[in-house]
Amino acid sequence: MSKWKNNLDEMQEQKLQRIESGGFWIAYWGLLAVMAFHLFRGGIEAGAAMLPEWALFMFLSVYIVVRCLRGGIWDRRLKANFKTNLIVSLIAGGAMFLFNTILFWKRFPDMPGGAVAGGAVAGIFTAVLCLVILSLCASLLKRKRRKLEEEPEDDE
Amino acid sequence: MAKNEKMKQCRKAAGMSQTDLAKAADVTRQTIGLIESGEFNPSVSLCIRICKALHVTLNDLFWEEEENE
Repeated sequence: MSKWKNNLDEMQEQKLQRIESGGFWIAYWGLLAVMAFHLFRGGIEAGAAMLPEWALFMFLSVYIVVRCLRGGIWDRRLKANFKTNLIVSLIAGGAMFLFNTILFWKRFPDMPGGAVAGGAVAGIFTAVLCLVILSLCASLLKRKRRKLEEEPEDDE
Repeated sequence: MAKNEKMKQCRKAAGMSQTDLAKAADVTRQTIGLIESGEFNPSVSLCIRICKALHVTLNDLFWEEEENE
């Protein structure tokens, strides 16, 4: 690979990295939006047809989480504490509640109570799962950061 | 990338650990370690913060002689 000379200077390299980063996040959230759109239009049955898209989305998510944790990185603005994790989990749970309530209501329009109950179960499950995963990741991050912040042995 | 031995020597001469310097320059210890080992190229503004923390000039820390380039 070193045979291939980089044609970009430092400024261009940084700009390209920002463009690539922007492109990645557009693709990431765009993929989620497209999947949500298909679920809305096609119902729960459409979900099964989107297995490759879902697998790609999960792979991207796991890739980002693992690479960030290995580098001791959490987020630019959010802190890895319980309060923040709880708020993020509640937001995710709320979003899933709304999404699933609408989805169930579209499928069973004569059972609005059932749709809300189904949405609530999905929302609570998502919030709890999200909080457990975030807490686990925050714990792993703290351990990794402690290791990264240790003074090297040859430094006295 | 070459190791930044000058920075390591200046830091030790100032009686600072990597953690002390990291706190003074408002970065992580890992960043200081990577700069010293030559694995990370800091921005000019970070170089200036490190120089101010060590009370040295940019030349003292980051100027490389012709033979090292």
